[in-house]
Amino acid sequence: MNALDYRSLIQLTLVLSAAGGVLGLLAVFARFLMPVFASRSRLALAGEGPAVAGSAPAAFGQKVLQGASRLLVGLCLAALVANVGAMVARYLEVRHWPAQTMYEVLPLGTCTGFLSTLILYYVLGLHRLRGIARGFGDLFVALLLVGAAFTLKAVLGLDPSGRPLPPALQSYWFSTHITAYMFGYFTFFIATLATWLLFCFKFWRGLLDPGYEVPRRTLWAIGAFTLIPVPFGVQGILLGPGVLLLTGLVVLAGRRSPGRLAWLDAWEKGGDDFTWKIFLVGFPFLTAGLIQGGLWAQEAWATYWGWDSKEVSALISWIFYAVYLHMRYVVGWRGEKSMWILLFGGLSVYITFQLFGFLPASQSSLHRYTDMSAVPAEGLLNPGGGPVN
Amino acid sequence: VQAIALLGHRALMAEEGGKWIYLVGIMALLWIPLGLAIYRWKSVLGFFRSVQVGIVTLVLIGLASIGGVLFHQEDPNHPIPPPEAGKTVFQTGRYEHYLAFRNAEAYFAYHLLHGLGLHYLPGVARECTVDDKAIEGTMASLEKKIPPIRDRFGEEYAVALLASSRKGLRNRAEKSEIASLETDWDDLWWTLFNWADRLDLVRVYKSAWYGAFWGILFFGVLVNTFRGGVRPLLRPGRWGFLLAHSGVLLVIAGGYYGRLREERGMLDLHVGEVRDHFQLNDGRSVPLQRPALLGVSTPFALRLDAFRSDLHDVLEVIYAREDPSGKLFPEFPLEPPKERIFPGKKLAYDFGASKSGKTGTRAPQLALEITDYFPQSRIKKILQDAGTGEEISAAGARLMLLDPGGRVVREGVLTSSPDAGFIHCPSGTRIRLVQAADEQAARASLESREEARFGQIHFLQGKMQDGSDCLDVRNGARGRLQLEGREYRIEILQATPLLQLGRSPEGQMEQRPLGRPLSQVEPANPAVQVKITAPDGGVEERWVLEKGFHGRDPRFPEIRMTFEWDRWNSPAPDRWMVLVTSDGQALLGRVGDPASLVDLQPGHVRSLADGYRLKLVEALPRAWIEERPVSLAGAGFFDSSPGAIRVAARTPEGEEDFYLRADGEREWKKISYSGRDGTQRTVLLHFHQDDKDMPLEWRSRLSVLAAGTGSDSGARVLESGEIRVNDSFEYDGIRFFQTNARPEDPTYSGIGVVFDPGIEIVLTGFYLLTAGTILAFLVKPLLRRRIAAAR
Repeated sequence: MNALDYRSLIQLTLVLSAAGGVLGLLAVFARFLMPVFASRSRLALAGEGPAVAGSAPAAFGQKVLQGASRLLVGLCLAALVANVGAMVARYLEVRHWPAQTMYEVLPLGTCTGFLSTLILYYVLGLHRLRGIARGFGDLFVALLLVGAAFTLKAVLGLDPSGRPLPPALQSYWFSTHITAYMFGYFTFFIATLATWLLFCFKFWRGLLDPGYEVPRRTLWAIGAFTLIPVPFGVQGILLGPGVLLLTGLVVLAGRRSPGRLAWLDAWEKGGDDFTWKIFLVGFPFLTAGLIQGGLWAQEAWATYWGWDSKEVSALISWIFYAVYLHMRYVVGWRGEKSMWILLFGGLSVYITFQLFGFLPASQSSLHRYTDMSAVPAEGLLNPGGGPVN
Repeated sequence: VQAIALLGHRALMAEEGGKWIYLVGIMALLWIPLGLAIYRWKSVLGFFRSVQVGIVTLVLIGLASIGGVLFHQEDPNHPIPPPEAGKTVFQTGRYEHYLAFRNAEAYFAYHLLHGLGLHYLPGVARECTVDDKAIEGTMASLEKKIPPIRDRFGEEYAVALLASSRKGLRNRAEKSEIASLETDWDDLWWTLFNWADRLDLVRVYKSAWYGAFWGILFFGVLVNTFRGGVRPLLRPGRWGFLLAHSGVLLVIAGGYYGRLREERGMLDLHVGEVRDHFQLNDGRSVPLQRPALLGVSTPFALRLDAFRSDLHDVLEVIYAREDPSGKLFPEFPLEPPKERIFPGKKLAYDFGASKSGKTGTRAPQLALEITDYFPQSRIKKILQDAGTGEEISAAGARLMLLDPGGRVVREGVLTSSPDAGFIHCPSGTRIRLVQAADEQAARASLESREEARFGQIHFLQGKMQDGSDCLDVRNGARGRLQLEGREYRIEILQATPLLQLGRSPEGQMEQRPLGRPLSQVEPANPAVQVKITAPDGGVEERWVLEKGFHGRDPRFPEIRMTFEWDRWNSPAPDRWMVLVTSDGQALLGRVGDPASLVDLQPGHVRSLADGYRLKLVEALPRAWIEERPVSLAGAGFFDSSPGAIRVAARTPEGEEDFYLRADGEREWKKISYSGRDGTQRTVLLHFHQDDKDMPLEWRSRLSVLAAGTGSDSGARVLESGEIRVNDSFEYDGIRFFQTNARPEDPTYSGIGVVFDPGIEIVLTGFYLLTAGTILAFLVKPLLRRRIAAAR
C-alpha cells in the first residue's frame, strides 16, 4: 500500500481527528476541573473574558489550555488537509469525482464537515472566547472530531472497490450536487450537535441545579430524544446517551467550581443565535443541492422532479428547515421552541442520507446505485470450478 | 377538491350522453369557492394571508410527503385497478400491485423493528430469522482463508472480499426473513394495502388533496409576498426575499402547468428506422407533433442515424495453475480483480508476508503499468518478408478495394494461412488469398468449391450423435445432442448475419427484416435460431448470438452453446481468390470459374464482377503479418472498434512490453515467473469489454425529417442532433433523451419523448430561488456586517 493512496490518507485523517477529539476532551475536562482546584487555592473565576487570575501555576495552566485549544483547531485543519489529499488520491485512482459509493461519499462528507467546522469556528467567534466559556467551544469541536473519527473508522470496513460511473452519473452536476448536499448535511449535523449539547446541559442543570428552573415536560422530552438515535448503531448511542452522559460529567465537575454553572447562562442566552448562525451557513447549500438535483434530473430524465423516494426525503428535510426559518422570521419563535425543529431536522437529514435504503420504496429508487449486488465469496465458501479458458 | 377531481374522473370515463351529469356536479361544487371568492373575498384573502395557514400547509405537505415515503407508491403509468365486487384477493392486476406493496412494506418493517432491537419478530418462524451467529461463523471461516489472497492481491481486494461477503450473506438471510414476514403477516399487509388504496396513500403525489395543499401554499406565498405592495420589495434589503419567494411561486405554477399539458412516452428505434408516432406511457400512440394550445403545429418524423452502447474496457488478472492435462485452472476460486483502464494506471500483485507474518506488505512481485490506452483501435497489419526462413511457408499480399468511383473502400493485408482473414466488399463479394505452386495449381484451387453453410454451433457440454461437439448451421439442419443421459433434438430454424429485434404494432418483440439480400449483408450481429426438443417433448426456440448473448431464462439452461458465423462460406454473391505462386507471381480468379484467372501485377487494378476493383500493392511468396493495435485517430463515438492497451509488466524474471486488444483474439496474455516461495506463478491477463456491468455510455444520432418526405437519402432533414444520458435533443418543444439499450440487439435505441411546457417556468423558478437564497443568506449578512463595521 502506497503511503499517499486513498486508504492510507483516510487512515491518517482518522488518526488526526481521533487525536484531536481525545486532546479536545482532555482539555475540556482540564478546563472545567481547573477552577475546582483553583478555588482551593482561593483563585477567582472569570466566566467570559480574562482567564483565571492569580498565581503563576494557574496562569501557566491557562496558557497550556489555550495552547491545547489552538492545537485542537490545528488538528482539525490538518485532518481537513489529509482528507482533501485523500479525495484527490481517490480521484486519481477512479478518475471521476469520488462520490459514488459510501466508501467515497462518507469521507467527502467528513471533508466538508471539517471545512464547515473551521468556517463556523470563526463565524461563531469561538476563537475569541477565553476561560471556561472557551471550554464549550472546545467540547463542540472535540465532539465533531470524535464523530468524524468514528465515521472514518466505519469507512475502512466498507467495500473499497472503485466502481465505474453509470451513464446517468456522468454529468458535471454529479460533483456539485453531491458536494453541496454533503456540505449542507454535515453543517446541519453540526447544528444538531450544538443544539443537542445545549439541551443536554439544560437537562442536567434542570436536574442538578436547584436555582435553575426547567419545565418538567422539557426534561421528559430531552430524555425521550436521547433514545431516538439509539437504533442507528454505535454512532447513535454515542450521540444520544453518550453526549448526555458526557455533559452530565461536565456539569458535575462544574458544580464543584466556585462560580458553579453561571458560565452556562451566557451560552444558553446565545444558544439560539449560535445554532441560527450554523443554520445560515448550511441552508443555502441544502437548497443548492435540492435545486441542482432538479436541474440535473431534467437533463437526464427530462423531468425536474420524479417523486423518487430519495427526492421526497430530501424535500422533507428542506421543509423542516424552511419551517424553522419561517417560524423564526414570521412567528418570532426563539430559543428552545425553534431549536427543537433543528433537532428533528437533523434526524430527517440523517434518515435521508444514511437510512434511506431501508425505506419501503428505496429498493426501486433511481438514486440507488450501489450495494444491491453484494454477493458472498461463494468460491471460497464452496470451492470448485472449471478451467479459465 | 377531492370531490371535483372524482367527478372529473367520472366525467372522463362516462359515455358521451352521461358526461353532463358530472359536469353539472363539478359546476355546482365550483360555485362554493367561486362564491366565496366573489362575495367574501376579504375573508378568502385573510385566510391565505394567515401565516398560520401557510405554515400549517407547509407542515401538511411535509407530513403527506412522509406518508408518500412510508407507503409504496403505485406506478403512475400502471395504476392499481379498483377492487371489483365478487373478485377474490387474486383479482388480476390488483394482486400484483399488492405483492409489490407487501414486499416494500415488509422490507421497511423488518429494518425498522430490527433497528429497535426486536430480533425475533412476532409471527415469524425462528428458523427464518436472520442468524447473526451463523453469519459470523461463516465470516470467521472465510477470514481464515484470506491471508494468501491478501498476499497475492493486496489489502484493498481482501477488504472488498470480506465486506461484500458479509453484506451478501446478510442480504441473503434478510431476504429469507422478509419473505417470511410477508407471508406470515399477510392479513395485516392486505388490510393496510386496502386502506392505503382507499385513502390515496399509495398515490400521494398524484392525489387531488396533495395537489390542493400545493395550491393553498401557492396562494399563501403569493398573497404574503406581495401583502405590503410591490414598492417595499424593491428595496435592496428585500431582493433576496422577493426573488426566493417568486422562485417558489414559479416552481409551483410551472409544475401545475406542466402536469396539465405534458405528454411523455417512448420511441423504439433501430438504426436507419424512421418513426412519426411514439407511444405514450399509458399505451396510446400519438404523432410526433407539438400539442398546440393555439393554432396548428407541424408533424414530423424521427430517424435514428446511428447508435452505440460503449462498454467499459477492463483488465482481469487471474492467477492460474496447470493441471496434468495442461488445462489452466484459477488458483483462487474467486471473481478475479477487474480493473478499469486509463493511461498511466499502475497495478501491483503478489506482495507476500513480512518477516513478522503480516500479509500483503512486501514489495510486489508482479507490477503492471498501462503505458498506452486506445479506446478505439485498429490493427495495423504490416506485411513482413519471411525470406527463406524454415518456419513460415505462407504467401502474403497487400491489397486495396476500390469502389466504382475509384475510392479506396477497404485495405487488406492477407496471408494464405487458414485464419488470415479476407476482404468483405460492401456488395457482399469476398476475397481471400491462397498459396499455389504454379498457375495450374491456381486453376485447380478455383475449381474446388466448399460446401455453403452459415457457420457452426459448438456445444459446451454433451456430444452430437457423430461424437463431435459441433453442428454445421444450414437451413433445416438437424442433429441429436446427448447430454447427461438425455437426448435432445436440435434443429436449425434460421440464421442471419444481422439480427435486429423490434416491436410489432401489437407490442410483441419480432425480428426485423434485413432490407437487402442476406448474401450482401455484413455480419455485424450474426445469430442463429435453434429449436431444441427435449425427450419429454418440451420445446425451446432460442436465439444464439455470435457476440455471446444467449437470451434470458432459457428453458434448457443445461444446453450451452456458442455460434460462429462462417465469413467465407456463408451465402455470397461472389467469391474471388488472389493466388500467389511460389515464385511470387500474383493471380486473380473467381471461385468456380477457372477461366477467369488473370495475372495481377503490383500496381495493377482488376475489375470484379460487381463494379468494385481490386488493386495489388505488394505480393510475397513467403510472408508473415506483424499485427499491432494503433489508435483509431479521429474515430467518432459511433465507431465500435475495440479498445487496446499497451502494458509494461515487471516480474523478478525481467520486464516485458506487449499489446492487448478487446477483440476476442488478442485479449489474453500469459505471464510466468517464480514466486518468493519458489513455486511457479502463472498469470493470465484478460483485457475485454465488460458486458456484465453498466455500459460506459449510450449515444444516438437523430435526424428530424419533414413528414411525408420518406426515410431514405431523399428525405428532407429539418434538424439533426446527438443524445446521450444527461444530454437531450429538442425539436419544436419536444425533447428526446436516451433511455434504453438492449444487449441482444446492438442496433436498438430506446428514446424517451417528452413534451412539457412547464419545464422552462420551473427552471426559471429554480434560478430565482438560487439567486434569492444567495442574496438573503450570503450577500445581505456580509453587507450588513460591513456597514456595521464602517459605522
